Amino acid sequence: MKKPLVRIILFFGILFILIEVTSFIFIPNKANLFEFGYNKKTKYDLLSEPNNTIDAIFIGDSLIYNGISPMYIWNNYGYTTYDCAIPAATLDQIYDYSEVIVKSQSPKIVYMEIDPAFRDPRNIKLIKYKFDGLKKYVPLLTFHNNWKQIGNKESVNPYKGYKYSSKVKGPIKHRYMKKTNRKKPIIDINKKEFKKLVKLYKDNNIKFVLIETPTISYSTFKENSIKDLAKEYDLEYINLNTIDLKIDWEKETKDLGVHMNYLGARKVSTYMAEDIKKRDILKDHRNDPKYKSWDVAYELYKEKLFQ
Amino acid sequence: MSSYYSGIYLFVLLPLIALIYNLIPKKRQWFLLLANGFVYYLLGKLGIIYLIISILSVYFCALFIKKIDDKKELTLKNKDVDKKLIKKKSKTKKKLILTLCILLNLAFLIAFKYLGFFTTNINALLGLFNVDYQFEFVKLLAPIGISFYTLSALSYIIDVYNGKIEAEKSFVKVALFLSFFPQIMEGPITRFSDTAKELYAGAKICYHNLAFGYQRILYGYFKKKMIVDRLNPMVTTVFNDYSNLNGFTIFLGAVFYTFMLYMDFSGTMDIVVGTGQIFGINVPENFRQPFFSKNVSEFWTRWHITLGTWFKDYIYYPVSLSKPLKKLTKSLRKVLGNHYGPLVTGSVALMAVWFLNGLWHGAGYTFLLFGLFHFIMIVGGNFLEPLIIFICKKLHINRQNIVYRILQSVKMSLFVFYGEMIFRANSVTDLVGMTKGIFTRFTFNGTELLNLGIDIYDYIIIFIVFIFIFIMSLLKEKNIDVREKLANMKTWQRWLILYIFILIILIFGAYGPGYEPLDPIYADF
Repeated sequence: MKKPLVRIILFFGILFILIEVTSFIFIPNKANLFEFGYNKKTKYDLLSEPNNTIDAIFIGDSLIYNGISPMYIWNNYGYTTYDCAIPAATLDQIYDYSEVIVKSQSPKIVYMEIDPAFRDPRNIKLIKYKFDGLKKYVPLLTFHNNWKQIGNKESVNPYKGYKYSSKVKGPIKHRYMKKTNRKKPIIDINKKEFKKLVKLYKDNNIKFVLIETPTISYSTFKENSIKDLAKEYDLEYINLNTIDLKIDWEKETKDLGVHMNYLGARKVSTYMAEDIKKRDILKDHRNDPKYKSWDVAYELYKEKLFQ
Repeated sequence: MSSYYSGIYLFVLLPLIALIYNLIPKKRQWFLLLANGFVYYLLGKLGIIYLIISILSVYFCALFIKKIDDKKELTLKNKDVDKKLIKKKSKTKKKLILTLCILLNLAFLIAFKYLGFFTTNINALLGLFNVDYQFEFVKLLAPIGISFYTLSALSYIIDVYNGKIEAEKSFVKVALFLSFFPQIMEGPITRFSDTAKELYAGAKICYHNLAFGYQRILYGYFKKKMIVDRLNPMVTTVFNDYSNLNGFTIFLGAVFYTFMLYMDFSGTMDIVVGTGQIFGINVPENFRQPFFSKNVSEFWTRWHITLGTWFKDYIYYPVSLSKPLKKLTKSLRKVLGNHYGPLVTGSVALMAVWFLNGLWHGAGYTFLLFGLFHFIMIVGGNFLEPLIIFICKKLHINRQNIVYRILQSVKMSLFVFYGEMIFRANSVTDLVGMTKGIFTRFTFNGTELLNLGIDIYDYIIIFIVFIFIFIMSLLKEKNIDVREKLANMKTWQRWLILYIFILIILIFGAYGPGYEPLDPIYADF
């Protein structure tokens, strides 16, 4: 038994080294690698972007990376935005990501998806998402598609945190935003994390706005609590579930109405871009030569669109 | 756990199960396998109830049939009894139990898979006759693998009835046979004699089995990540938006869909067989280089083999050997001769097979058409065979010639591509539109091919992988065992090949931003 075990360990040991070495070739924007360290660099793909080039951030969980397409916003409005989202994110994870944001970028505005406020970081179900978090130790899993850009002077990220999906699977039951006066409690750990978040963005002079992107799983039960929270910290709260975005839930959502597919994401992205426009705080960079790489990224992004 | 391809399954759960399996005593290993099967079903929530009902029904019905047989044998020993009557009575009782058991198992399958389809059609019929009543449309979410384990369960009870196998006294063995965890989602449709003994016997996991098992799993993963998830966007676009596309693009979409389906299903089978191998269980193969077939009939003996043999054993033979058909064959022999007489009656049985084969795949007219198409192709081939032999003889064409063989495979592949296009089409109207598109707009447009969700780099990878898979299949067809050759190499050579293979999947695999993993296609059937 001993001999096979040694062989197995040796095999995987060498494999791990090979993967790590190969990973290094594919990691973009290596400058940040030395500034932020290996773990952060591979964990937060925002660090692949040149510093201080992103003007608006959408931070949160899967509702963000399924619901808002920064490339769609770029093509139609010229704003440089980014989805900083983690699957089943908890507020402590969002805080860690926020620290990276304020150190590497200087966004004018950050929109935070508020659903993670109801997620308990001690919940056992989140373990499967923690497994996804192990990806940071194998950067090749995140950056491998850069092989298509080998030979280019500068590698670009055509998704900017967005996860493109063309799947169509509408909800079975529409129990959506049913009126209630009850409030879903926010646990103390999350209240503390939220307070830290508000302070972080305030200290860095970044406008911090709470949002809830459209999802069949949202309810007034949650909304009532968030309204109180927003009031307490004097924050804006935009609940897109109460605004008619003309979403066709049967065709524009991908998993029984929980997340948007690309068609739904276009509508949410349009609304968010219009909101940015209304505030008149960001510039349209489409004709700015400094942002030429965004045009290149858009061309790559366009190739993946098939609807 | 949504799929056998998930990282949690392959790199956490499977090694963990293997480790625990090795640590517990051999006599108790079956318990872990059984528990895993049930846990897997529990994740599918209510699915486990139907599985348990299915297991209980076949287990007790088989025992009951055995009891009737035993009683019959005992009574027959008495010389004073009317043996004919006893045998007849016993057969009637056995038949009744078998029928009840089959009906119970089929009832669930019909309720979950076909209720929606039947309701829609009945309502349409009522509307046609101006009947002012509509049945409520009920669509139930089918438990995973129901189509697969139902057929396995039926094979067990029918084999017991026919006396091919003895009714199993151990409930555990029957339960294990129907719920072995890697087979749950997409089969293969095993027979009791295939796996039951090995599943119950248990065995220590040896290094050879572990290495061979994981190598096979890796090959399945390679197919999925290099081809299936890469082709998915292109195929989806072609089948959803064919009206705006050229004929060549539609044709290529049908070709790619066929390969995508093959890679997806055979890839999953690689994972299932590989998992079985780790635990020392020989799960039957479901594919045998189908694209090297000479005709459609042979293709179906190499593609989804366990489904084909199930239909052959439990539908084709019982129908063709039934009394009315035997009688018909006898009469037709006199009229049509020894070749065409049995061929006509065989075709009747074949029609039943292909009608049920289409229906098994799903409730919809495209699936029924899929069955009908294959029926026509196979029967047509059978009837034309003497004529083709005659023509080849007259023209001095050697049918064993390599060029002739390649042309046969190309012809067969074209039929299969069209068959799979019927299978995948969203509706019969779409199928007609796509067919028209292929024949009326058959022009090539390179730019169009690059606007279907995959780029030029993806096409290059697809091309290279196809060649690789072709070479591997060719070697297997020539009985050259690549894995044995690999196993005989020096360790550093073997490891080097495996490292290159793994790195190729990691670098060039279609995953991450821009790609969407496709849910296993056959899990829906």
